[in-house]
Amino acid sequence: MSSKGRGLKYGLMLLSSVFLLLLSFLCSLAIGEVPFRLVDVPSILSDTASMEYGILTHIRIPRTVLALAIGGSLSLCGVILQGIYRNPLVEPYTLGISGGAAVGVTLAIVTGLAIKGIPLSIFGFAGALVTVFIVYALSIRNNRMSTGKMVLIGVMISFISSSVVMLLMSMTNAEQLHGIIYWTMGSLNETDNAVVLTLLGVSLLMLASTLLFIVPLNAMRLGESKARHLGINTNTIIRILFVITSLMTGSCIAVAGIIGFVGLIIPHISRMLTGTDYRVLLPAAFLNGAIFLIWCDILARIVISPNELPIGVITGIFGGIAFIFILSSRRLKSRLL
Amino acid sequence: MGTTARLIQKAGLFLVTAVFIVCFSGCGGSAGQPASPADAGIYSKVVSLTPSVTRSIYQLGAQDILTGCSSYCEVSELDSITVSGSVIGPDIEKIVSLKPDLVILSDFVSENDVETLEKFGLKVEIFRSPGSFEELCSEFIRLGKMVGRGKEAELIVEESREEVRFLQEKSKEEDSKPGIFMQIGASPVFSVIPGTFMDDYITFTGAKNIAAELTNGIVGREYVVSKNPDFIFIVTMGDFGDSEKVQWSRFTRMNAARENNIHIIDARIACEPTPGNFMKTLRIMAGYLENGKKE
Repeated sequence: MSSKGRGLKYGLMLLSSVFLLLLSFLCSLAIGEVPFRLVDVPSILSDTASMEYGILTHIRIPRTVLALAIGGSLSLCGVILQGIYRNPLVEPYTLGISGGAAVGVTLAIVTGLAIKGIPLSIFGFAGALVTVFIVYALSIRNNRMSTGKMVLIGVMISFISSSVVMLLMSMTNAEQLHGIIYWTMGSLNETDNAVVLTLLGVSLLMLASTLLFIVPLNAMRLGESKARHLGINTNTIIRILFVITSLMTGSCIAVAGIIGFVGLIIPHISRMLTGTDYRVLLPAAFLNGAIFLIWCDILARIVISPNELPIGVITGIFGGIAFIFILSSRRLKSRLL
Repeated sequence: MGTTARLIQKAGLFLVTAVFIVCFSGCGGSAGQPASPADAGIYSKVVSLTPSVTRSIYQLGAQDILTGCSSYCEVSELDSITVSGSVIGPDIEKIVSLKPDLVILSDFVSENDVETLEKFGLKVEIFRSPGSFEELCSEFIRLGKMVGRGKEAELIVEESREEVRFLQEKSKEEDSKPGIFMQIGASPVFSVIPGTFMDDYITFTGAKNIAAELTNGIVGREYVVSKNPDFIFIVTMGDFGDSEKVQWSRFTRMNAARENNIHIIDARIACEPTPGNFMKTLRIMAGYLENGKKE
């Protein structure tokens, strides 16, 4: 196929993903305890005095926007990290960021700081930042970032963090235990619109900024040394992308807790659909991640309605099954890194 | 008689004497002595790792028998009673060193820990979280009998039942039953459901629980809004009560928000199942319902 033909094909693919995202967004607004018809959504939004308006604006729209922002961000981070480390098992949480955030939140709950008016997300973000700093500091040798070392240190920090969390959980009471466990399962129930909009803005900004790294990322697909021979300063690129993805992951965890598998599985599915050219892969991963998490959220709301499942349960089950399926399929497996 | 025969005779006599002593040495003190209070089911040295039971012991005026408590038993903080573990994790060595004649645990404690305590010869009683007001009362009476305050316990329970009957009679006069959502958790939102003693707070005030059909308490906010409760009670110890009140207030079409009937109740009273706390919470809720109806 000619490059023009490929361009058209991938352009149509991205357009389809945008259309699918829009459709998913509208379905998320319509599906719930109080079902709306899609055609009624505009009239509901204009009737500010109705109960349905309250449900839409205070519950469904914020969580759908959050699903879009977080799903897109985690997938984007996953695709970048898998490209940097050239490891198909790397995801945003592999570097220990989720562990650090979990320690921050657990400490806040156990010490009682969390009930003094400071949002849990602050502690989650602080914990994530500490982990990023530790991984960064320990991974530098002779002013060079060692990607292999980063992954190993990140994995070890994850283990240490989960042990610390278990230690703290063993010292706490039943009510706090409940709060900690459910935080680690993830939730899109953020009701502060300022937080939701900020995260959306940051995730779109991140998408835009990572598009600036398309050329180096494509070059690094050939391997670090070959990329350096092509004139890419891989050391600097890796550092910048590491910081961007870590901060983004930390922000997502801080707001919604730990939502696993999105950053692992969606990059692989996106590669299967669009190939490994980052010009298409980056926006595709963002869109696909957003669509995936929106539908996971819909399922979490309706599967055992009126009760709700933690969203991390849904992404884990579906993500895990999908990943095993991909690994089992020889044809699909060849399209991994 | 030869030397050997004499020796055998002496040995035999010695043996018979020894057997006699062994057989009858344990019996001298028991005949005629009364059974200990513990044998009669009354205990005088109690370790309680269940905050509600500790509070009940205080309510019965039997706090002198407490030799150990949990780190969450707030009522005994000022009395320097030895902390012997948490609600879910007994400090076994500490408990054994206190030599109690009764150890009271919640059903959160693992069976292994219970068995270990019993191996030390300790009497262990489990007090489960009651599923209703009546269960709460019968457990209170059981505790009262254990600490030698059976009559006091029955009196307190009867007074509580009388007050409940009065409230129920009063609520029968009302035409309609208001819908109540009682929240006991924020992330995720957790509702009081039937099969718990807290559900009786709602039914005894003549109201209906909007979560009556649920078997699991985790609900989405949308569910609560769709049920349009007339009253929302947020049971909390921390600051999340204020932020939850703000969240619910945004749904201005919901009856509870529109009529300003969103109230916070202290979890230390509402969640601790003692007759005293139960009646306190019930009175608070009945008061809010009464004021809400007048407005």
